[in-house]
Amino acid sequence: MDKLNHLLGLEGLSRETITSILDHAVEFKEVSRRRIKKVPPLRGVTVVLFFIENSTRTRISFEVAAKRLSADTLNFSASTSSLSKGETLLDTAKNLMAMQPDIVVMRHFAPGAAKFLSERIPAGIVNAGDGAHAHPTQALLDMYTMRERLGTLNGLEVAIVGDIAHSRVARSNIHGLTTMGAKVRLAGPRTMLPPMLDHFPGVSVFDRIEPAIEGADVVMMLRIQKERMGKDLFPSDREYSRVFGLDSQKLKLAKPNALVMHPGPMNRGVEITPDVADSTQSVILEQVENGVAVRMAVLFLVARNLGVSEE
Amino acid sequence: MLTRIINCQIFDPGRNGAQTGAATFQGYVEFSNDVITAVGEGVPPPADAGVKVIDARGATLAPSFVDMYANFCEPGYEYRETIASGSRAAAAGGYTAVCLRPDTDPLIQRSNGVRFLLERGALAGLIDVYPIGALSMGMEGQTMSEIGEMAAAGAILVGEGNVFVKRTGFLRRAMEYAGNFGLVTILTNEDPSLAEGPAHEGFMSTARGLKCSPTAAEEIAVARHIALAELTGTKTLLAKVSSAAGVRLIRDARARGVNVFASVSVHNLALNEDANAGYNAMTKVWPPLRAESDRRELLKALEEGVIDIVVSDHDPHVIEEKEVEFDLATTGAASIELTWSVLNTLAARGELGFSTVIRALSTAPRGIMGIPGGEIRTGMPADFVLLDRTAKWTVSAADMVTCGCNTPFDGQELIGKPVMTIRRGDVTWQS
Repeated sequence: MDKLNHLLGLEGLSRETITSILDHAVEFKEVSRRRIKKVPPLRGVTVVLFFIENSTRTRISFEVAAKRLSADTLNFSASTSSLSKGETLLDTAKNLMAMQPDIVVMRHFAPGAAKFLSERIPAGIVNAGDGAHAHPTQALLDMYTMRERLGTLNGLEVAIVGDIAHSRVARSNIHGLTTMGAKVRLAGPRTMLPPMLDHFPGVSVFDRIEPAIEGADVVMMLRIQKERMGKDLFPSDREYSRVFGLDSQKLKLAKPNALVMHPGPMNRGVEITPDVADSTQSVILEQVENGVAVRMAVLFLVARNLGVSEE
Repeated sequence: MLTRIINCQIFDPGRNGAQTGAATFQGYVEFSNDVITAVGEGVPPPADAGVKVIDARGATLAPSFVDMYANFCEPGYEYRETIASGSRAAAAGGYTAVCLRPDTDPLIQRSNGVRFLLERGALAGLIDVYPIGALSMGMEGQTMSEIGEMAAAGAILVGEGNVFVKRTGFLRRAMEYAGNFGLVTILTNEDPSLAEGPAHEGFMSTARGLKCSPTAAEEIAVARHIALAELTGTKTLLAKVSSAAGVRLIRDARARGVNVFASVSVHNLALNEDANAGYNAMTKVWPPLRAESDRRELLKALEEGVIDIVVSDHDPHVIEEKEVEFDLATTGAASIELTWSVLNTLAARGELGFSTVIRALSTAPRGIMGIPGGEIRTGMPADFVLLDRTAKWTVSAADMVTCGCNTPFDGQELIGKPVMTIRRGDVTWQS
């Protein structure tokens, strides 16, 4: 298994490592269903939630995960911090380090920011999203959900539809899923497909949603950013939803009982119709629940690698 | 005073390709004050008393280098570099003349700016400074800057630095006007509306999630600038071409006899997009580091003479501008003292010819600018560089002469080092 001093991305992680994270998450998921939702392995461990780019859901998920492992958490976000006063990331991080945290969970708008920090401060870095580059815990929770529902990842056909160009979720899923033996089909308007996507092994690319989801085991819809609507990438949300959105008609092209996924937050009526989002095939809320378990597993394994966890 | 450099391998581009004798020969050079008085093969006759003798110990003697695109940051950004510190770094790189970008603060857009740079250059006394005057006031592409006055003050070059002139009609008139005074127009090539970020649009940017710029952004700008060079007849240097597409257009234009020349930055010759893959801000330069196929085409075009010259694109920054996220870092690298070594390393790997490198750094820039030198023969200016072509050494950003900290070559082993630079008979650098 790879050394997990940090989790910067899924690229380069072995199948064994990913499997180990998912297996640990199975055990931790059970913790969240107890009356006392807490286990002791990260007692005395300080986890900083360092969110330079705003995020409520991911931050809360990490915070719950850390607390259920008995870690102490510390919130640090851009709007309330000295970063908004012009301090550099490195200076802010060094100030944080003076508080002796063991693990820093970072969300940042710039790709490579987590790697940048991991090379400069002595803490375990968990990437909670860096620009369009990577969002490894999201892909892990997606894979967890698929594995739990479908039994295996090997051989699955997973369609990811939407703004691939700006999506760290898509990129992390490409690496994770193909490592685990799944095939990934990427689809979106050509304005949202960056060049040479088919150079990733195990990936095929479509400029229409229909062929991408035909016979798929999983259909993952990506969020369309409101700020991109009506700009250069597509004409209107109305047209997008008709041509590239997932509705119950299009979903029939996928395998019967194919899973419908979404990393959230959803734009109902844009990339996904409400009936599909709320259908029995939708596992969107399970993804959220599994996110806590997967993040517990990641925090636990990083802490164990750093030698700060209790077994 | 008479000075004699003995025991050197003389590389005379003037002899290159000629029928008589090899371009490189073992010999000696003698100069009095700033002019070459004798060049000979083998061992010279015994020197008279009072002749200063420099033993080159087998180093290669070539005409000194001329850089047609650098930023010494003065006036306005003296915390990055000054004319004095940049001059030292240039001399350390084998240069005796450097063309400086106009985008200082204040901009170089009037005669006073030109005179200021010339005075500061003369005060430092290590290189000849050639200011590039801005084409438009405020570099806004609306109102012409005082091009004629700048020419009268000594400018021979105009251009807008790394800025793209948006209004083509304005650029046409500015180029015509510059041509009126015999100036060379230097234009960089990127349509900013296509350029979304600092990386090359390709698999690396896709995989790393980096904002990027396609080669078409350069292709469109190169095509426009060739058309304007043809329309205006003004001698035009396309600065820092980075793509195979740009090269293709230039090759065609050259074949048709358009008055257009091209330079390439040392970064685009030595590095490709993979250098950005680790998000190291020291590798953030402009134009983007492109695909390996682009780099190969640039090397080929340089070898063929479709690209005339190599520039250092020297652009120093302080550590706090680079020790940040890739997206937020400033663009540029402080490369003037490393340029020849990087190129010689490519030559040692068989990617470039030694004579091509000397042409690109010494002969071709002088030809485009119309300044004397570039040959090792009697009557020519005593502007030399002595090159150790085999010394292996490791770049250390902290030990560079420039005030800039930023180099993508930190920690890399290079082959070859300038050991002495002589400008108008004076030693300006000795390692």
